[in-house]
Amino acid sequence: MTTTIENITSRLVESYTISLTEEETVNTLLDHINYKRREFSDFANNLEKLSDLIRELTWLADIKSSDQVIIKGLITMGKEADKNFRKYYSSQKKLYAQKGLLKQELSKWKSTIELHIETVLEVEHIIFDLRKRKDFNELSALLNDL
Amino acid sequence: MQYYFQDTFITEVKKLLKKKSYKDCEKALISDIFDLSVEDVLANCSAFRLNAGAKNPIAKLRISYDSGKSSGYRVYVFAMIIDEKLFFAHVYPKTGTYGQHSLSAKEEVLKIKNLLADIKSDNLAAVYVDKKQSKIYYAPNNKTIF
Repeated sequence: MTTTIENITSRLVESYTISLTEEETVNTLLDHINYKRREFSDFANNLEKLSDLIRELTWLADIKSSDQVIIKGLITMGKEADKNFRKYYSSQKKLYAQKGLLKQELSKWKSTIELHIETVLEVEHIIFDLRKRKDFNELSALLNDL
Repeated sequence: MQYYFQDTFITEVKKLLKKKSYKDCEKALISDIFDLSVEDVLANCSAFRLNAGAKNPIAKLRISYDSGKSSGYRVYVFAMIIDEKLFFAHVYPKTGTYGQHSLSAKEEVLKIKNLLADIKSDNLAAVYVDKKQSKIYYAPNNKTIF
């Protein structure tokens, strides 16, 4: 093989191009991971806020029948949303956690999904189960007399 | 604020503290509940209100350890608040080794009934906290509880 300036230049350009492409790929991958990190974190934070808002339903006094219909609707929405959250979480976990990526973020996100459904079920229990009981209402009245 | 524990509450916390996953439970109780105003306790613990609108609140407080309300472990505490006195009835974990489902409405009513009876008969342990030591003490004899 003859060594000419053209030959060396051609090989050098080829090598540099490959390394630049690799660098770009790594950068794109890192950007994507950072994007996903933010997405999972935002998801978790928003879900925590949502759970707090749902919990506040138990602080409403004098809930009317029409309000109860609305609350039942919200609870149904919460349960449906939970299914979607879990589906999306599972798909993302398969994509990232199995490759050892974003484990902490995924774990936090999973906890907030559990907290959310826990809150929805607790609100349903308090408003539509506990408060409908005669013995509970009698105890509440007794407590108010103390 | 004055704090009172039911005997069963003390037994339940002792049981939790024996498990590694809940070893910080006393610290969590101290940081989330003690030496705070009623409003701060209710806000800090993301409280569910069982008897909305009543003069003396019955609340289910969420205590957690680790950063944020959704990570680490979560335990729920039944509490009644009467005139700046906080009475603790029952604690159960939602996550961790002893993680369990919520109590049924019937069981909750029984817990509330027993606590009310203990309040009326003055059958509760008055307690206080030493934040520097991160320990809870019996008020009458200054002995540690846990």
